[in-house]
Formats: sequence, C-alpha cells, structure tokens
Amino acid sequence: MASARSSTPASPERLPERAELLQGTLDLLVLRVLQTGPNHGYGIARRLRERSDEVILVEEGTLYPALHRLERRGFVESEWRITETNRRAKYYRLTSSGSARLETELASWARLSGAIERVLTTARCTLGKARLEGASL
Amino acid sequence: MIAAAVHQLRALLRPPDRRSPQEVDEDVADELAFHIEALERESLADGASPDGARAEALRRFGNPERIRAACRRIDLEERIMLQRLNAVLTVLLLLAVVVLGLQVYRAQARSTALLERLERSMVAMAEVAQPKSVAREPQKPSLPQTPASQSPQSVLVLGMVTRPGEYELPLGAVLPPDIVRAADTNEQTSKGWVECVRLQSGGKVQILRWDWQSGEAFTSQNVPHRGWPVLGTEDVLLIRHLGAAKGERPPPLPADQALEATLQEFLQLPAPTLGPSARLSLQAALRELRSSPLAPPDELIDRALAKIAEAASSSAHADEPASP
Repeated sequence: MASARSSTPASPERLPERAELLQGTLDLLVLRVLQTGPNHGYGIARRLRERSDEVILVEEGTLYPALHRLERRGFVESEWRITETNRRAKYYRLTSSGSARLETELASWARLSGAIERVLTTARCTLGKARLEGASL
Repeated sequence: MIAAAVHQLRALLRPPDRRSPQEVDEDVADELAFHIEALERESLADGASPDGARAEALRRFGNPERIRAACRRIDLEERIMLQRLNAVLTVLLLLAVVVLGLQVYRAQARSTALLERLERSMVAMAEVAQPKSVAREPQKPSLPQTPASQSPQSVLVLGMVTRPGEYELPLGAVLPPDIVRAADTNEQTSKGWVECVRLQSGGKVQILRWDWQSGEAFTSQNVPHRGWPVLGTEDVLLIRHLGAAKGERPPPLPADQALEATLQEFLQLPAPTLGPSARLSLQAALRELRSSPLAPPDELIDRALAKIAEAASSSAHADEPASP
C-alpha cells in the first residue's frame, strides 16, 4: 500500500508516523514523474522522494503494481535498456494517452485540493473567531 | 469524452502480450531485483554493512513475493480472462453441438415414424381400394385391354409358378398363356408342357394343357382344344408343369386324375402366402370341389384346406411383434 510517512528520525515533526495516500494519487504521482522523461521503477521512487523533500516515501515495491497496471491500460509503455551501471532495467515512458490522462488527473486534483483547502480555511476562521469571542467574554 | 473513447479503442486494438507466463515471471523478478540491488547500493554507500544494507533495502521495498505476485496477476490478467472466455465458449459450443445433435436425432426419428405411418396408411388405402389383396405379388401385370370391357377382374394363380398370387386383368381376358407367363418367370419351365386346372365358382372345373413351343392347347387327354377360354371373375388357376421331353407329349390323363395329380402336387409345394381375400377365394373353390363331378377324395381337399389354414396361421404369427 502506498503511504506517506516520516522519512528519517531527523524530521519526525513533518508528518505523523504513517498516513495513507489518497486512492489514485500514486498513479497521478507516477505519471507526473514520467512526464519529465523515461525512467525505471527505482528512478521514479527516488524522484518522488527527492521532489517531496522525503515527505512522500512510498513502500517502493508498491510502485510496480501501479506501473504494470498503467502499462496494461496504455498510459505508459516500457522497454528494457542497459543502465549506466551496465545493468538491465525496465524503463517506462508516458504515452500520449498517459499525457492526456495526466492532464485530466491534474485538473481533478486541483479541484479536489482547492475544495479541501477552502473547507479547512473556513474551519480555521470560524475557530479563530470563536476563540476571540471567548477571550472577550 | 471522445478522447476517452479513442483511448478505449486503442486499448482494445493493442496487440496482446505474447510473452509466456515464465517470461513474465522472469521479467518481473529482474525488474524487482534491479530495484532492491539499487537500494542496497545506496545503503552500502551510506556506510551500512552488507547484511544491514540488504535488510534496509527490503524494508524500504516491501515484500518482494507479494509485489511479484501482484505484478504477475496484472500482466497475465488479460490472458487469464481470455482463457476463461475460451473455456466458457468451448463449453457453450459443445452444448450447442449436443443440443443440435439431439434435435437432429429427434427430427430424424419423427421423420422415420411419419414415413412409416405414411407407408402403413398407403398400404391400408391400397387394400381398401383393392379388396382382393395380393400377398406376395408386388406388381399386377395387366393383359392387353379388350374392347369389351374396362372393368378389372381378379384371377388367383397358384401351383408351380414362381410368383403365385392374385392378378388383375381386364374382363374378357382369355386363359393363360399371358397370365401364366406373368406368374412364372422361369424360362426353363415356360418352354415345356403346362397343365392348368381352372376352378370356377359352383365347383366347375376346366382342365387345359398346352405346349409353349407349338402354342397349341389340349385337354388333359391330349385332345386338341380350339382357342383359349375366356376367364371368369375369381377363377383359381392351379398350374403344374408336365415335364414332357422336347417333341413329346405328356401322357394323357382323365380329367379327374389330372385334377387329383394337380392337387397332389400343390400339397408338395410350399404353402403360398396369400392375403385374406385370396385365401378365402381359394378355400371356397376347394370346398366347392366336393360337389364337382370330378370331385377328388375328401381327404385330399381336407389336406389342402389344412395346408392353407396352417400357412395363414404361421403368417399371422410372423406378423405379430416379438414378445420381450
């Protein structure tokens, strides 16, 4: 299961110990990473770790079922290549269908995150106002 | 909307994964091993021991077996679905073949039963149309039509003929050469001397013999007979071959002895299979012989009647369905 968790003992304050990623988010993240160019599973995991400042650390093996599923659906395609360390690795590449899918998912994510943000902001304002009223009493 | 439809269409038209399940397993194992080894190298670079690096790599990666199984299931899902679909279609096809075969078999059985019923109906209709049924005679040869009449009449021809039975012929037809030739296809016997005992209603008997070669007719005492007698309805003709050598005449016989000899010969022959009406005609003719001036011994007539009755009885038994 994909998850977000504290990356190292040095930054325990960033997130609770373990938080589940929203369903479908992993696919969105993988497609977004592949938008920058073909990569293998290990490379994708490393990019996710680096771009999220090591906040998002999926159990890296869980990337593979997601990658294989995306490949079966035609959003990515793969080929075997030889790496710089002379190892055989499977590289994934975004297809045109995958690009379109990514755009759709990004728009959807923007709407969702915006809505969540608005709800949270409203809640904070209400809470702050209530606190002020309590203090004045 | 259109893009989604195009994508679905592309996914459908995508060529199937042609790798074998073993190749899929190997690819997945290679892919995961590459990742785990990379994680190990990372830990080793951070100063971990080889064992520690391996443990850390597995901790970060997750359970490789579970992940391998999940990838394998996804990669082979399409094939598994196709195999299931194939199995289901095969079963359906087999069922369809079995159902079709059963229907064809039933239809054939129905057709056969209908044909048999039709055949029986036709036979029954033929018997109704012609009360004088012919037991063993599949065809009734007709003699040339005489201008005197168009109505048919029946004549029963028995004795030393190869095709005993009832024959229809036009009213006014004359005694035998034609009718006997039709009933006897044996060329050898048709070349010699033949004697015909004609039993008419009322116990009247006429005996005529003739030579096939000369075409002349005689009485039983070899007295020449002029012309051929006209046949009557329900005449019974008992035929016997006289076996005279070529160019010779058979020994003359008084009419009563000729009749007796014919009956004796009739008793030696296998009983003819006759239809009910023909059998009744023959039995009536034999009974009426008792009152004839040429009456043969009663014992001879009784034996002939018994022979006919016995043949009718055995024929009836043969027609009965076999008991289980």
